[in-house]
Amino acid sequence: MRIFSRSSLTGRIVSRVTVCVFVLWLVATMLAALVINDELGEAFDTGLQETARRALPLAVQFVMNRADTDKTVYVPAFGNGGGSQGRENGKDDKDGNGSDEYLIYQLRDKSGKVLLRSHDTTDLPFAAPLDSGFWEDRNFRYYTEPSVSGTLFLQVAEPIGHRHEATFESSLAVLLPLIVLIPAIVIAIWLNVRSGLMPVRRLRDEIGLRGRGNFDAIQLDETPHELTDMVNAINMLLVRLRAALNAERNFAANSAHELRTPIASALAQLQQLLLEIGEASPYRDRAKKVEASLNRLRRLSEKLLQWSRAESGIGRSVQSHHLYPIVDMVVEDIKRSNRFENTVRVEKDNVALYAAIDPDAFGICLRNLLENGLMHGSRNEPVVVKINGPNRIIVENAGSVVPPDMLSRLMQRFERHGNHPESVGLGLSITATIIAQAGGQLELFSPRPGKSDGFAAILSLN
Amino acid sequence: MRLLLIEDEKALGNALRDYLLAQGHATDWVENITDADAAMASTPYDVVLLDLNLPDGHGVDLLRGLRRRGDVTPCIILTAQDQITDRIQGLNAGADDYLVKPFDLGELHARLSAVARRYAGNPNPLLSIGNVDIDLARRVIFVAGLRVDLTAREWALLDQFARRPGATLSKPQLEEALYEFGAEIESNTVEVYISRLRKKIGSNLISTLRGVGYRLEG
Repeated sequence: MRIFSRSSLTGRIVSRVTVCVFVLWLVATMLAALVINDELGEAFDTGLQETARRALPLAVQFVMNRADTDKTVYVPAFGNGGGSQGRENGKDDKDGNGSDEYLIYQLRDKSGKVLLRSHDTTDLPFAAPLDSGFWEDRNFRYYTEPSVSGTLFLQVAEPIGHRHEATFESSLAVLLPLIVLIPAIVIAIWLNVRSGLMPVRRLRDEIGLRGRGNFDAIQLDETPHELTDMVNAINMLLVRLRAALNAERNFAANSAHELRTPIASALAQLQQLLLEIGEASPYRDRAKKVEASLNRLRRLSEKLLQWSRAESGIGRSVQSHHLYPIVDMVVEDIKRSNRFENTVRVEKDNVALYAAIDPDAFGICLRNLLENGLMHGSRNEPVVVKINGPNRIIVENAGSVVPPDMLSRLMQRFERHGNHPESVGLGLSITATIIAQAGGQLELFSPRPGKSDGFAAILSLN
Repeated sequence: MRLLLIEDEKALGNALRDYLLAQGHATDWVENITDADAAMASTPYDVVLLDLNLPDGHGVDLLRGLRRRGDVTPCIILTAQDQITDRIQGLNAGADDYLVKPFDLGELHARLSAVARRYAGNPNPLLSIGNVDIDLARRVIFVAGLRVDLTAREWALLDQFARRPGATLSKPQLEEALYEFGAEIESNTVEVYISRLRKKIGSNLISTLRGVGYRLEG
């Protein structure tokens, strides 16, 4: 799963917290096992002691009342057919009843001889000395209780393995739920981490969904204080970045703007020179080439100015504007310029063209689309501007079909189709940038919809 | 036409003045608002060509002042400010046209002529009087189907008549169209150019109204 990849913050937290919980639970189980072992030891010791003290008078009385004092008597377990009567040694030492009784005992005299024993022992005396209290060897834990006179000793023993088994099973009871609950723990941690990281995701979306050129400060409601510092740092960075980019754009815009007047001067001087030297001058061709270069410089400076404006986010507008006057003004301006051999025809629906885009930015877009159509389209048909609804404009021209691979690249900077001398390769890129800022979309089609030739640009405004 | 060019960029102003003079328009060139006010106070102009960013103020303020005073002299703004909103501001202030730098001189002349014709009440650039056909936009004239070449000052004079066919123009009015500031004015210059025009386009096309002026018969 992607969330558990090394690059996922959620995955890292979930896996680390899960491992920590597991390890800590394991440590807790071990500590619990120690405590359980200790407590069970005390309980079992108490049991040994209580058993010895309660059984000692009965055993002493039983031994005193028997007929043959030389023989060891063993007491069978309940349900073994022997009742509570003792049996003499050698008759049935191993009854094999399979009972789960863990306590065994021996009544010994002060010489150590076994006078009475439980069913699971032999006639051999226990290894424990005849001293009052507890004693332990590798296999058994013993408790020795002397009689009042100190002539008889009752020793009760319990297997050490039994105690270990009890401790192990108790500890396992603590550990087992963890194994069963691990998946539930993982899911619970994942849900909580996911919920806890919601502000991080909101921050990511806030940054990720921003359009190019949007350097506004990040504003998140209820930002956790761990993120506040980060958001503040990002906002500071955005401020510095915006200042740097604005300086760069202003420089580009001012440079392009300041270039206009010198270019205008050079062009006017040159055109006046062309008039003065006349048609027959040997310098006319060279002067015309200089004029063509100046005209190209003029267009390039104009496009750079538009580009810097587009990059500065000129397209965004908080309010909607009526755009018909802009359409009329741009179309009229292009017609009057006499730069193109073709002309423009406007087809308007009886619907207001009204959209949230800066009027200057819209003017730049429409001018670029018209220039594109006039430069690259057929001269036999006018370029048509169709106002198609309140926020949709189609600019289409007749002419050759643009290959699909070229069509897909036309909105990139400095991509040109054909070799028209006026083409700079920035117009469609500038238009796409501005329209995206205004929340709209620029789509290119070739051939134009419903025709087998030509090119169409569709502006869908917001 | 008598033109006032207000442009502070010397190289551009120089080229524009030379070009407009060569096209037969008496052109006065000033570089700031103060000089422009003085020029307009003393001379009636047919069209004002106005730059916006001037050393002593903004061209739009000059234009608003003109319109407030009731001066309806046609005005074309020449500027490097290409924003639509700049254009709307200029047109709302009373400009008749708006040309963004850099521009072709031919485009400037075409717009100049269009504005002048519009103000003369005759936006049609084609004029036919008898066997004379005048294309004011292309600045060509045909007499009985044959093209006739005119000098810049002959054009300047004919332009004054053609923009007001049938109207009587006084000698001082015609003199204003012929000379830019500083040029010497001979007492018989208008008569000389009227005479040359009559020889080229026909003697009966321009009538003399003694003591009043001249009129293009339409």
